[in-house]
Amino acid sequence: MTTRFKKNRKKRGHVSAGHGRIGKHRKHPGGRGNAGGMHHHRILFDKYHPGYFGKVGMRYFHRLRNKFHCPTVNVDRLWSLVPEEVKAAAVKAPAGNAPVIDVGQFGYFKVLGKGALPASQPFVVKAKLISKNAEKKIKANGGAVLLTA
Amino acid sequence: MVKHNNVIPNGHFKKHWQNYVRTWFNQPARKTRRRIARQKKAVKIFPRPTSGPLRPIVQCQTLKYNMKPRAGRGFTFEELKAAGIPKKLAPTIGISVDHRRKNRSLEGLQANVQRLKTYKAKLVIFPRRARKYKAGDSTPEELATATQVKGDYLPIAREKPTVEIAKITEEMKTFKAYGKLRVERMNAKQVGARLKKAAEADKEEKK
Repeated sequence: MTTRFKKNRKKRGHVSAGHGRIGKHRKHPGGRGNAGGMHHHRILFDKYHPGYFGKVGMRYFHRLRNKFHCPTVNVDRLWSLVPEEVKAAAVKAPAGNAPVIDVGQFGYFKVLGKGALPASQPFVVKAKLISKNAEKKIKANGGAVLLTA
Repeated sequence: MVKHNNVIPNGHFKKHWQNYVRTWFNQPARKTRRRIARQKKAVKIFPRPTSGPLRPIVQCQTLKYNMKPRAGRGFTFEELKAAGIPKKLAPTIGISVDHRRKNRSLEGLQANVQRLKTYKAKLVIFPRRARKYKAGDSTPEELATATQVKGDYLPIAREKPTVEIAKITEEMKTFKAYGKLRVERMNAKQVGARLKKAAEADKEEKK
């Protein structure tokens, strides 16, 4: 915008140019940046950013990530791990026979119990770890669970 | 000063901020530079394979990766011996050698020996000076048809997971996996307490 059209042109010659005599137009009257979050801007911080100050949780020194490495798979995904030709063979197989899915080979350590299993298609699951619900669902479907090292 | 319901600014770009900002303007140029360097190297080392010497298959370490195989540093003396390659000759014909690695399993040893053997069968050795044939060099016909191997050769592939069909026995059905896990966890937790109890019981008996 050209200076010619600025509103300030009209205010020239008047002492404070619309910024007030008492408050005055100063540079940073409230402090720069995030100043005063605990003090004079506390209301704003508490109102719009609850939980901004402070810490959460417990400290854990020397946390080795390998110890917590436990990729999981849910019960509803298990049947899709089986290759197509084995699926077809499993349908034809005599009663009492079922595919044995070694979950560890697919990179999973633990089997969890979300979702449903394919009805009337039992299978045996081999895993390092298993949850209570997962075992219950697999067994209800006529399958079995084996533990591996 | 902060005003209204906005995100609290948390960018720290005051002290030498230009040192901390990562730009990728050199990426396209780097790509072509690397490409040219690779081509130059391929010409320079012709007729050797572009991807360097042959590496052994080794198993990754730790619980997290131990289901995966990867390329190791070099073949052990034991493997070279089993494949019938003198250890002094090996590095001269594009086989890397590692004097520190040990063969801990028979399967691993055999896999790497097999790898060496297939490599040796496919290997074409050029004479150091053309027209001056020495023992161990390939025949001229082979030399004429030989091409430089580009990219990976004898790739290391992970075994495909197999799912087999087996009979569900009564034993498998009655096995309570979750219960077993809980029991084992408790056993592991109680080791100390049980030891103490046993020791105390021993003391009581002795009195």
